[in-house]
Amino acid sequence: MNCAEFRHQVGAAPLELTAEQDAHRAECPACAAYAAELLALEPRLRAALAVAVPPAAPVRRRDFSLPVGIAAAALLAATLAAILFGIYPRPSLAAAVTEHAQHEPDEWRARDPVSQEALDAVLARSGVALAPGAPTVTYAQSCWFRGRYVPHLVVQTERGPVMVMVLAHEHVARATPFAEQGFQGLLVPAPKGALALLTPDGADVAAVAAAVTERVRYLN
Amino acid sequence: MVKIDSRRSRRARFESLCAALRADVYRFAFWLARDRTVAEDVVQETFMRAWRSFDTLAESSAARAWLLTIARREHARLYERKRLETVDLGELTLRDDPALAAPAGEDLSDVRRALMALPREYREPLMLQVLMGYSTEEIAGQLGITQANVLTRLYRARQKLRVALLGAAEEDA
Repeated sequence: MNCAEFRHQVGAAPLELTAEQDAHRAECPACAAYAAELLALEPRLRAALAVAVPPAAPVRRRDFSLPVGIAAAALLAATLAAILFGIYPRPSLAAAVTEHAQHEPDEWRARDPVSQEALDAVLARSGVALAPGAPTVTYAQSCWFRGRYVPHLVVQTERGPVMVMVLAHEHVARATPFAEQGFQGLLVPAPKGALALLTPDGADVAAVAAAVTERVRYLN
Repeated sequence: MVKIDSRRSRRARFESLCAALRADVYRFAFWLARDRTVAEDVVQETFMRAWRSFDTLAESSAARAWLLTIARREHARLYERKRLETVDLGELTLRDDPALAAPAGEDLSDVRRALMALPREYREPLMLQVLMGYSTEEIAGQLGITQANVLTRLYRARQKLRVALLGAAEEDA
């Protein structure tokens, strides 16, 4: 076995070295270093590929074909929704917000402002807009959360990032601070529904809540 | 009575399948689409179609490969539909995904960015191998290509990752 053959085979399957490959590795320091490099990369690849899986959503169906029929379609959708919701019980709002944030650790690292087009698209999907003057948004996704697609944003403040979820279909009677899993959060009533805010760094979530409440617009 | 029991048993088996394999199907869909929203849609469509053809699944040991095959088809269907509304879903996702905008450093966002930048023909077998634990022979069966072709794609995938993540020089294949 020569070095090129070794590298091709190890590059294709670094965890499946044959005896012949092992022998080549033992006698070729350069190829041994190459194999070690790839072996060290494998756990990082596995971890990166294992993205967080969001909680199951109820089944939405658009094109049920006949002759299954409407009743059968409804029954099936209800069955699957029951299956999927039964697997994932509904947590409290504060716990659900915190859990959702933990599914998306990259949100806290984003520093570049999201383009206005991308932000508008995320907001519009949930029938929401933000008037000019809101804090800089560095993360914007439309997320499935407790049965709805909702805007999931991160804004930057002097004391660190703050996650904001615009929850037009949730009800919060009064401003409610909470602490979960090392995060500090705040649930506040909004002009329509509620806002949920979360910070890992002790940022001023109340100030962000006020700024967003003032600028959020509901399109429907 | 027998029929009702049979339906319940069928449903119970399907429930069990959903619970056990949903994460795999989601991750597979995510790395095909490189977009969480599309991935969620693919998962839903996949399980709906799987439920409708559940009787064709002969052995539960084949369930994962069966679901991934359905997911691949659903992704293709969904992608075709969405292409009508967007210029290029891949490019839009790469540009707008906040994970890709994260600062450089030795963390997963770098690896994810490099994985997202891989061509699909390299990304898919790599995902099946590293994440799903498939052998190169199984991957060949899944993708309908030769095992030699799988080996080449995996080698090239890792070469591109070495270059992107470790600053290594590109080697000749």
